[in-house]
Amino acid sequence: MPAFEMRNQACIVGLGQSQFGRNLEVSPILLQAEAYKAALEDAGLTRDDIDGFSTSHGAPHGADYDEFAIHTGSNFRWVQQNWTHGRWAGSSLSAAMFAVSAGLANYVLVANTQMESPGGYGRHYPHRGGWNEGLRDVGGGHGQVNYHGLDTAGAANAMATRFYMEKYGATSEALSWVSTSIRSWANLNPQAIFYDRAITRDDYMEARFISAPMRLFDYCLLNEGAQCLIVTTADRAKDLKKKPVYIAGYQGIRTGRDSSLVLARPGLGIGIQKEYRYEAGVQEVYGAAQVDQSDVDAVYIYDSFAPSIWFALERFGFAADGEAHEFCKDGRIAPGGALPVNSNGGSLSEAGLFGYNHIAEATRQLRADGETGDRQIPNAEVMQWMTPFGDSLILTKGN
Amino acid sequence: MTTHDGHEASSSPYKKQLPIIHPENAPYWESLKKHELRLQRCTECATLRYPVSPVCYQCMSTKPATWEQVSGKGKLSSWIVVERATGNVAWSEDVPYVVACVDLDEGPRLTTNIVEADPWSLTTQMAVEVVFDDVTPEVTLAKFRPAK
Repeated sequence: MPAFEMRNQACIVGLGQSQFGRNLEVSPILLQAEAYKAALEDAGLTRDDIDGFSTSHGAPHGADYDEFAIHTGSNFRWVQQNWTHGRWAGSSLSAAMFAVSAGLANYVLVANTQMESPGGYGRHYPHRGGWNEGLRDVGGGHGQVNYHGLDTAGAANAMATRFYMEKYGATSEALSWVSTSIRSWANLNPQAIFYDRAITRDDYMEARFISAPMRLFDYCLLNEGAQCLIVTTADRAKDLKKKPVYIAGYQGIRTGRDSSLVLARPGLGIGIQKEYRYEAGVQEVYGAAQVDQSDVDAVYIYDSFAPSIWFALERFGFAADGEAHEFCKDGRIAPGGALPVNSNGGSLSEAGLFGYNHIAEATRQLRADGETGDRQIPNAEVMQWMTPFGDSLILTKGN
Repeated sequence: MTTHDGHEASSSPYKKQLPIIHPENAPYWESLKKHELRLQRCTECATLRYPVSPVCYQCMSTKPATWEQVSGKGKLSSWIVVERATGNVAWSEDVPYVVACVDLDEGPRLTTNIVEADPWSLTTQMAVEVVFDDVTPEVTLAKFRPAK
């Protein structure tokens, strides 16, 4: 037994988001301040209550912790900021959980801002087409090797997708179920950027290739937006405005040569990975939360690219090695399906915020107080956030 | 004038990003310039390694490796056809172009390009062989084409 039992020590007690949109001439400070104020209102807290701050995606994609504190007049006694990549939503939430559990902060603001659309505020920053880890000797964080023209995360993900398709006989038609199912969820979410734009599987197949075999609708939104969540201890949560949602379990990002291409899953045999038959085995998030896959009412998956949903479902054992492409067919992950995936519309269709918005949606679903309208998942009790690179959170309504 | 990755822009019209060459990886790039493909073999555990690294991932040896010439023959493992250059726009002049993973006969899997082939005619496990592309006077890239 670990010395620290994380189950139900900490709760998400406030949610707030900015406007979500494309080509917004709005600074990350303003977006994140809008989300911060909304989260305080949601939780029934004031700025003076918030004494911790956790984020992952500072400049040049979002707001750095120190800049944000200065602009908003905040005073934090505990802060952490992860690597400027999208993959740290679960890590940022877990850091907040550990901080409040250890008494390093009472209420932690978990914040993330994205400004990626071509005509938005982010165009003022010189990062586009410039330095990235694709120039490292081992290649980039997504397997990019810039000097061979593999210089985007999407292209690297397409490389894994081709390999998967060839290995398991997965087809473009199978892949078309993924983004169209997620879009169907967005069509039930007025906050989603693609709320009023439906797509059919024919639309998917007729759309242009970006990096074949991936087509336009396999790529997430590039947009402006901010999401904030407030985390505190279970004791403090009981006295606040909204029903607390409990952080029941967490496990961290996996890394190593076997997970070298973060948007694939172990054993696939892409990039420098070894190839072997993968089995989910022990994923400690379930033990921590004292649930298993069959208890999970809906999953929220890091979906910067549609095939990530296949890879994450296999990594966590919802589908066996090579079977996720069949699993996702026939509306199984869409509204009304057996396993709802990304009921907010995901990064593919709600907003590209690296999953902070997905975790907010899981929280809303568990509160079940009418915020989720027609997309409310009946009797939702256990929700799981998970990524193709292996980290995961389990949220519950508590005992 | 230097570009963001430190190369002299005035000496070459080449607009794509170039590798960062430093003492630890220079033998790799120097051999490519001589049209030889060489990878590191660990002098302690004999593992042939890729990507280029100052450390052996197998035994953590940091002793200088030997640079062993490999056959340049392999099999196509995976590939993409880039239709839209959404990273560095300089690649737009090449679309559609192919980026691939190639399994060398000696084991390591390289990220590279496939050239001299119709991008839409490629098949898994097809035999490929290295070709050397002198993209600038200083830098040669190892690319692959269908085996002849």
